[in-house]
Amino acid sequence: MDTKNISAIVQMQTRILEDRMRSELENATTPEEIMSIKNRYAKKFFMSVGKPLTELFPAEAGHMPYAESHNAMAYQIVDDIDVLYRETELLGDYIVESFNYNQNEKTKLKNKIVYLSSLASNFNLVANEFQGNVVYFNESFNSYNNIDTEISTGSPINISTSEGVATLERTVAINHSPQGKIKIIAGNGDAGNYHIIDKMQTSTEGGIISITAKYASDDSPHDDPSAIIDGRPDTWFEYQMVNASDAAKAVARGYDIDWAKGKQRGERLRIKIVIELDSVRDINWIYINPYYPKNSTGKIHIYSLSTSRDGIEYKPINSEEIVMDNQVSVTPQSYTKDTLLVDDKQRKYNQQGVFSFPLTKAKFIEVVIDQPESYEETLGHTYYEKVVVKDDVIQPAKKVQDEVAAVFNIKPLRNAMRHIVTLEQNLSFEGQQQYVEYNWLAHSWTLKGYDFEPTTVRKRVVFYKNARDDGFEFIMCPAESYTKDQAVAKWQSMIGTTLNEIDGYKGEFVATEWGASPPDYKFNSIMETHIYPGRGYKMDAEAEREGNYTIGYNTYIKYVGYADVGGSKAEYRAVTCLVDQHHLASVMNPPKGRITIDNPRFDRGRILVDAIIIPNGLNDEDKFPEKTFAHIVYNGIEFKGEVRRIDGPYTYGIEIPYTDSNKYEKHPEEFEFYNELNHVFKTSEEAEQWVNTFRSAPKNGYTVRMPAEKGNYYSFEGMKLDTAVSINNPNIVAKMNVSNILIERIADLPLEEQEKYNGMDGEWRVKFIGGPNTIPMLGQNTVSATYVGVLSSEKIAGVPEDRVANAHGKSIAVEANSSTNPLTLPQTYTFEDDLYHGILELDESFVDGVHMNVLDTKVGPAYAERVYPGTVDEENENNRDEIVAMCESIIGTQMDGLEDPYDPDNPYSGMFTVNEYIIEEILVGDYLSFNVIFRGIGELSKVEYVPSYTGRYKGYVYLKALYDINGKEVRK
Amino acid sequence: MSESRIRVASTDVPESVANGAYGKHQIGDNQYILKGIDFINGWRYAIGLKNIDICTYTFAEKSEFITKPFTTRKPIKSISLFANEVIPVEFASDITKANDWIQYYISIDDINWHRISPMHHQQLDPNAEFPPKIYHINSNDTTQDRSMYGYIQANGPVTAVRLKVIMQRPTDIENADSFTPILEEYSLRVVLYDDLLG
Repeated sequence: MDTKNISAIVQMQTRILEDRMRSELENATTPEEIMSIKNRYAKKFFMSVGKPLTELFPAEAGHMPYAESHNAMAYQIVDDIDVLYRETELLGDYIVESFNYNQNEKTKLKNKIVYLSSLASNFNLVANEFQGNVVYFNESFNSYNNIDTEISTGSPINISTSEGVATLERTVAINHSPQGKIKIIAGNGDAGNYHIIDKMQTSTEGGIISITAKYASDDSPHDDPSAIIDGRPDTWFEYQMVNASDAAKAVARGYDIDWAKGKQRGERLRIKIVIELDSVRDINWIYINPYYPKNSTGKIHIYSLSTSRDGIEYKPINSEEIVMDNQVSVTPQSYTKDTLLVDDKQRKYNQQGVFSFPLTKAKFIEVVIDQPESYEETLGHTYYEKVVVKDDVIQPAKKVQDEVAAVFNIKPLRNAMRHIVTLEQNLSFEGQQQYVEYNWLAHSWTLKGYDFEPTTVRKRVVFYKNARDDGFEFIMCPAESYTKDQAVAKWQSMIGTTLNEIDGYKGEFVATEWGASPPDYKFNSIMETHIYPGRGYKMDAEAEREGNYTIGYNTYIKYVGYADVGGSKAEYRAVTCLVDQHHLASVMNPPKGRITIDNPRFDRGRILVDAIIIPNGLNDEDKFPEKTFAHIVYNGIEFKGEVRRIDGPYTYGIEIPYTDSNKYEKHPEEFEFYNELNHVFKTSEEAEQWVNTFRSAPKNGYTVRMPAEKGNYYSFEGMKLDTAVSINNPNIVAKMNVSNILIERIADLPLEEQEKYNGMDGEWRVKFIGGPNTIPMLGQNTVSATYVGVLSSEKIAGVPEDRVANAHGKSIAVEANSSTNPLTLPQTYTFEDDLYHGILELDESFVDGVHMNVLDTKVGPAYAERVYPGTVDEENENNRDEIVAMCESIIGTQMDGLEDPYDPDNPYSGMFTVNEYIIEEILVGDYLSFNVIFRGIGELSKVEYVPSYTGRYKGYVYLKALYDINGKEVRK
Repeated sequence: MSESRIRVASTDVPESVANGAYGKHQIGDNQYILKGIDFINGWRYAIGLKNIDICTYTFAEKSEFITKPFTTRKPIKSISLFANEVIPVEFASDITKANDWIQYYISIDDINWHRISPMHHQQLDPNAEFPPKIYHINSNDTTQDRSMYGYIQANGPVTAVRLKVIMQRPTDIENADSFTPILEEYSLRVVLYDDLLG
C-alpha cells in the first residue's frame, strides 16, 4: 500500500470558498466589483488554505453585535467543523484500509516464510554437499512453483501442498471428518493448554519490576476435541502433561498443584482418539495435521491407526503393523542425501501424517498418538494469599523475628498411601463427620553423633538428609532470614569436618544402623544445589556405597534431624504432621467441611515454609511456656495449636525392628513409605542425642523395642497412636490411642535374638502411665481403641441391647499369641447412623505387656473394594453397557473380596455387601481396559492363604479386629 | 501497621475470589486475599492436532507432471535423481514392475526424454532394460560402462534440465482406483563443469 496524502481539507475548503464567491458574484453589479470579489477570494484561498476559514467578527464594546456579521461567522464555523468531520471520516477509513492492507501483507508474508522455509530445506541439502560444482534441485511439493502446467500433457498429477505429496489425479475426493464426531478422548494427560503462561510482560515503575502474565488458556484453552474434525486449519486441540521439579513447585507450597504430573524425561504422553463417522464409509486415506506449540519438540509419534465398522473390533490400517510408532515432524524436514536415499518407513511418515491404505469400510477410526519428549515451558500457578493487616499499637511487636521454632509443611507425600496425621490432641470434624480415622507412624531419624554446640547465632537450622541408592539429598532449612553463606557455615559447623568434600563443604556423615549391612557412604560430588530464598538451601549429592550390603535392603536411608543452634539445645521438636482427607475419612462418612486439628506440633523434616510458628518470648530462661502457634488455615485444615514443653529424661527413641527382608524386597515402596514418615522430636535439655527408628515386623505386627540402657524411659509424650498401618498394606489400619506411654526394658534377649533384631538387646514392655507427674499437658491417661462396627437396620432390630452390653468389659487380646495384654472392651457405646463404636479406656492403669502388636488388631466388619476380575475390551459400547448392567445387578448383593493381597501370609476374607461401584478406564498399551471396583461393607474372617492368588482382586480393608461388635472372635 | 501473609488453598477462599480477577479482594476489616500467579519453570509433554481428515479418494489410472526447467549458471556435467516414493504393497503382484509405477524422465531440449532411475531403484528384471541412474552430458569419457550410465550429447553447453514424472496404477487388482503411488519428494543432483564451456 503506497503512502499517500489522503487529506481532503484543501479540496473542501476550495469548494466552500467557491460557493461563497459564487454567492457574492451573483449580487455583483459592476466589473470592478466582480474583480474585487475574485481577488479577495483568491487572496483568502492562498492565505488561509489548510487553516480555519472562519472570519472573526468580534463584537464591539458598547453596542450589540450585528446580526448579519454574527450569523455569517456562525455559518463559517459550521463550514469549518464540516471540513474537520469529513477529514476525520477520511482518516478513519484510511486506518481501516491500512489495517486490512497490513493483514493481507501479513498473510502474504507468512506464505512467503513457508516458501522460504521450503527453500531452506534445499539449502540444507546443498550445504551437505562438499563439492562446489554440485547442485540439488529439490521438490517436496509444498508449492506448485516448479510445475510447468503448460507443457504437461495428459492427466495432471495431483499435488497436495498441505500434505506435501504427489499422487495420481484424484477423481473423487471426500473428507468424511466434518460429518463425524469425536467419540473418545482418553490418555494419560489432560486436554487443553491449562497452566501454561503466556504473554509475559515486564515493566519497571519506580524501581519496582512488575511482571504481568496470563494463562494461555485465558484466550483459548484448545481443549475442545471437535477442533480435530472441523476441517479448519485455524483451530486445534491440545493434549498435555505438565509438571515441574519439586523445587520449582515448592513455590506453590502444596496448594492446588495436583495437576502436575509426569517426569521430565522417560515419560510418554499418549492420547487415544476415536472418531465416529456418520455411517460406515469406504476410506483409504488419513491425513493427520499436527499443531506444534511454540518451543515444542516439533514432532509426535503416531503409535497406531486402526479402523472398525462396529466400534468393537478394530484392525490396523496396515494389516502387517499393529503398532506403527512413526514420527510425524515439523514440515519441512532438513533433507539430507542419506534420508533421500533410503525409502524407509520412518521417512515415509516423516512429514505431516499421510497414511494411504487399502480401501476399508469403517465407521470408527482410532488414532493413538504418543509424545515421548517434553519441552521446557513456563507454567503458572494461581495462588491465594490471605493478608491480615495488624495494628502494631494494639499488638506490639515482639522479639521473635529470628526465632523460628517450627515450620509446617503439610502436604501429601510422594506415595499415595502416605497420608498420615500426627496429632497431640484430637481431630474434630465439623459437619456430619462423627469420628475420624487417621494414621500415625513415627519414623526413623537420627542425630546420633551430632554435637550441637551452642553458638552465638540465635537462629536455628533444621536440616534433612535423605539417602538413597542413587544419591543423597540434603536439605538445609535455615531460618527465614538466613543467607546462603550463613546456611553453609551452619551446615559446616553442624556436620563437622570429616564428611568427604562436597563442593567445598565438609562435614561428618553419620551412617544409620539400618538392617544387617550398615552402609558406608562416600560422597562423590554435588549434583544439584538449590537455594530457596527465605526457605532453605538444598544440596543433592551423589554418593556411592562401599562395603557389603544387600541390594534392595539398604536402599532407603534417611537422615532427618534438626539442630537448635541458638538457645538451649534441642529444645524444640517438629513432628511429622501430614494430613490426608482420604484417611481422615471414615468408611461411611467421608469428612466434609472444615477439619480442625488442635495442638499440632509436628512437622516433617522437609521444611517448606507454609507457616512459621513463632513462639512468644522464646529464650533460654523461659523454657517452653505454652506458646500459641500462629493461627493457620491450611488446605481446609485449621490448626490451633500450642508449643508445649516435654519434660523428663529422654534419650533414645523407639525402634520397630523390621525383620523380614523378603517382605521389603517385595514391597520396597512400602519400605520407603516408612522412611518418609519422619518426625523430629523436641527433647529435653538433658537429652544430648537420641535415635528414633520405627521399623515393622510384618509377620508379628508391630513391636516396640527400645535400644537403650536399662532404666531409661522413653516417652511418646502426648502422642497418640491412633492408627497404625500395616507394612504390607497401608490401608489396613488399626486404631489405638495411646497416651503417656512409658516403655521399659524388662529383660535382655539372648545373643541370637539380638542379632535377629539387629542390635535390639532386650525384651521390652510398654506401660501406659499417667498422672500429672509425668507429662502434665497430656491430659487423659488413656489407652483407647476406637471400635467400629456396622449394623444393618435388621441387625439393630435383631440385636438386643443387652447383647451389645454383653460385649462390655470383655478383653481383647491384642495379639493372637498374647493373652496377657488385654484391652477392655468399651463400657459405653454410641450409635451414629448405622455405625456403632465405643472407646476402650484404661484410665490411670497400666497395661502390662501391651505390645505394639495391637496395631495389627483387626476390627471387623470391614470395608472392602474388589476389582472386577479381568479386563474387557474397550470401544465396545455394548460390552460396556453389559458391564454397567452387571454392576447394577450386583449392587446390594454379597461378594467375597476382603482378601488382603498385600499380606498373603495373613489373609483375611469375608463377604461384603456391595453398595457402590466405580468403573475405571485405564489405557493399556493401545487399548483401553476397564477395572470395575465394587465397594461395600462386610465382615472379616481369617482364611488360609490361597497359593493360587493371582492379584486380580484388590481388597482394601480398613479396620480389622479380633472381635466383632458382638464380641465374636473373628481372628484366631 | 504490619501485615501477616499466609497462603491458602483455592478451596478456602470465597467463590467470588476464586472466580474473580487477579489482585486484591477485600474479605473483611483489615483482611484481604491476594490472588496472583506464581511462575514455575517446568516441562510439558504436548500433542497438538489441527485436523484429522478421514478421506475417500479415487485416482486416475495415469497422471504426469513436467517441471519447469531447472537452470544452472555453469554447464551440466551429469544428472542423477533421488526420490522418496511410496508404492502400495498391493502393487507388488508383479515385482518386475515395481520400478515402473512412478517413472522419471529428464530432458535438456524439451524434445527428447530420457528415462532415469532414482538412485534407490535396483534392476528387478535382468531381461529388461534398466534406465540409467546417472546421465553424463557432453561427456568424452569413454572409460565408464555405458550400460550403466546414460550419455546425452548436445550441440553446446547444457544449462537447463526438466524432469517429467509419470505415475500409474494397476487396473487388475481389487478396488484398483483407490490406490495410488505417492511421491513425497525428489531431488535432482546436478554436477556442473568447472568452466563455462562444458
